[in-house]
Amino acid sequence: MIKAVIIDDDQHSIETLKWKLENYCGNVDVVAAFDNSSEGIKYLKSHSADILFLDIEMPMLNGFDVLEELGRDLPFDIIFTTAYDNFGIQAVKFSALDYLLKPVQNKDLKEAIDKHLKKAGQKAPAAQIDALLNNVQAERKGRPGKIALASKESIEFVEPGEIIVCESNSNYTTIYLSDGRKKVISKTLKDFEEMLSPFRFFRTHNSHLVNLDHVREFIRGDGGYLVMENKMKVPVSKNKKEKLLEMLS
Amino acid sequence: MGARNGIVLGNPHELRRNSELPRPYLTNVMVRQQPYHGGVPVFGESPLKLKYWQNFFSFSFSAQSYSLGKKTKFRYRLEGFDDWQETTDHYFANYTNVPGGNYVFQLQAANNEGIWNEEILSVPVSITTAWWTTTWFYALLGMAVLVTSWWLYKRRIRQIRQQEQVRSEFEKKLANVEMSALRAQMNPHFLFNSLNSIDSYIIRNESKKASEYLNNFARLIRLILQNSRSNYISLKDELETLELYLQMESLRFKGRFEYEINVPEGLDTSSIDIPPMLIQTYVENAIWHGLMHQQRVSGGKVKVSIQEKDGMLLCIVEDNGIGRKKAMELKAKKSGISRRSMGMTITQDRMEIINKLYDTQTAVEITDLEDESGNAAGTRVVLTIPV
Repeated sequence: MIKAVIIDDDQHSIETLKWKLENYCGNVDVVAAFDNSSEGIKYLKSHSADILFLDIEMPMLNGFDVLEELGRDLPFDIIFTTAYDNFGIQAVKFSALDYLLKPVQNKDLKEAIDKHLKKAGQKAPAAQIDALLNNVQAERKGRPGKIALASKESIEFVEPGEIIVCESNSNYTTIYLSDGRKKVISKTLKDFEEMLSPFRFFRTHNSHLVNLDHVREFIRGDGGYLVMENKMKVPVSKNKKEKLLEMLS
Repeated sequence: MGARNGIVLGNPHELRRNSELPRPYLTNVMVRQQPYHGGVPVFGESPLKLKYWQNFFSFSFSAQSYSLGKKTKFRYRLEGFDDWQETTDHYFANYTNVPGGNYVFQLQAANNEGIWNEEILSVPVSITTAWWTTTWFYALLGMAVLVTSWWLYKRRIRQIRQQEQVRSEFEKKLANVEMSALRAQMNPHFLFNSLNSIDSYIIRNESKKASEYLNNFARLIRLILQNSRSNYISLKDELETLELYLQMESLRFKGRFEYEINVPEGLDTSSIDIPPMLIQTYVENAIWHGLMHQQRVSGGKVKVSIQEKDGMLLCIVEDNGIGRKKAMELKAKKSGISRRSMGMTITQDRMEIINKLYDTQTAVEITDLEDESGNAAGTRVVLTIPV
């Protein structure tokens, strides 16, 4: 059985999540739930758990404060919950940590648990938590923060400015970095588009997302194509051309 | 021809005409009623040189002849200015306001038989041109006028554009503020948390509660949508919105706080109009900053009181939470989520715009409450709305 702990200031959220975990994911046991974050911290310091479901927006100590209190080397996996993806969720996405939107969809919940099982019950890597907390600080100061590129072998943290092009490969995305390396990440291009569009990234084509700050040249044509600083040629679809030129000028 | 003592014989062919022709000469030249400084060119021996301001002058003339008498005829002209004028009764030529340029004054005389002396007296007259009457000056002036009017035209256009921009910016701001009021009310956190609450009632098979909550939720959303469309709503609607909101939030937080709405009896809330969604921001603030930060699990209280005083509507939102100072400290120390204070800024902006738009004075006053021993005991917000 997977031992789960829930911290959420809203009793109703705790109840629904607990019920859904017990009814849809048979192998999960909610061992404790807290609507007060400090009590949750106290519990986690003296008890073991496999997954922590942590609400982001809470009074007193919010989700990120809880992590600060618990230290970065957590002995359990972590899944954030939030009612709405505004503040903080960007930092969570950047850090490649998992999150669920409330009211929690059964499908999403099952996927999250499956993912946890695939990691063979691993805890959340300290580097990711570290990146998350740095990203929260960065977001508050209006800086971009670092995005986690997690592949099978490693997790690398890069600034959005270091990415030149993201290329779609069905469920994978190839990231071309400014130092010439490329990484294949098991996330869709849509995921990257959502994360990177606030940082002057533009989807020029179904299969390409480019960093506009790394564009060297636009070659006119039917839709035309872009030549990037790394000499890569990126196609531009006809209906994106106008918007692209507007954003480039 | 018979005479007194005889006859006079004459051969008509031997009759001689008067062959003597008078020779004209100038007797005086006056410039602006003063004798000309260069003397009188009696027979036109020297030209008349005048400045532009000396262009009032006259010539007096006469003629030399032995058989002159009153029969002498003169004609004169200022070549380039006028044409020949004949005179027998006055012996002078008057010129006024002659523009700058070169002229020749000509004078001719005729004897009693009307025979003109071919010898014409000529006096060149040159009048300087004032610099402001020269062509280049006119050209320059014309250009200056053109440039000035172009500049004025441009400036006016710029002015109008600026005004328009200010106006459109104001309108944009207004629309924005209206939008953000709606967004503050339709706080997505609140929306989704409410849905989550309904989910929880359903899960626990509390169908009656679920239905009640859902109905309240629907009514609240309807009110919010309706309120956000108008600049003014009745106090009754605002209070109903507030009540629904408080009811749902207190249900969600299971008795962590209580609420109270006091309206004086006999106050006709449906006939009082106020800007929508002003009060709620402060109520939301009271719950989130004041009450929820408390360690205690119950006993929180939000009180909304309405009073009418001297044509002013007072809306008092009072909580017994941790107070502003502590809340600020917590926010500074912890990674408090900044969305809440955004709600306050929005309200501040809206208040300014409402005051500008309707030329009224909606004011807000925030007081920190203290208990007997001087400890922070909550916050009181007093909204003064002219009605």
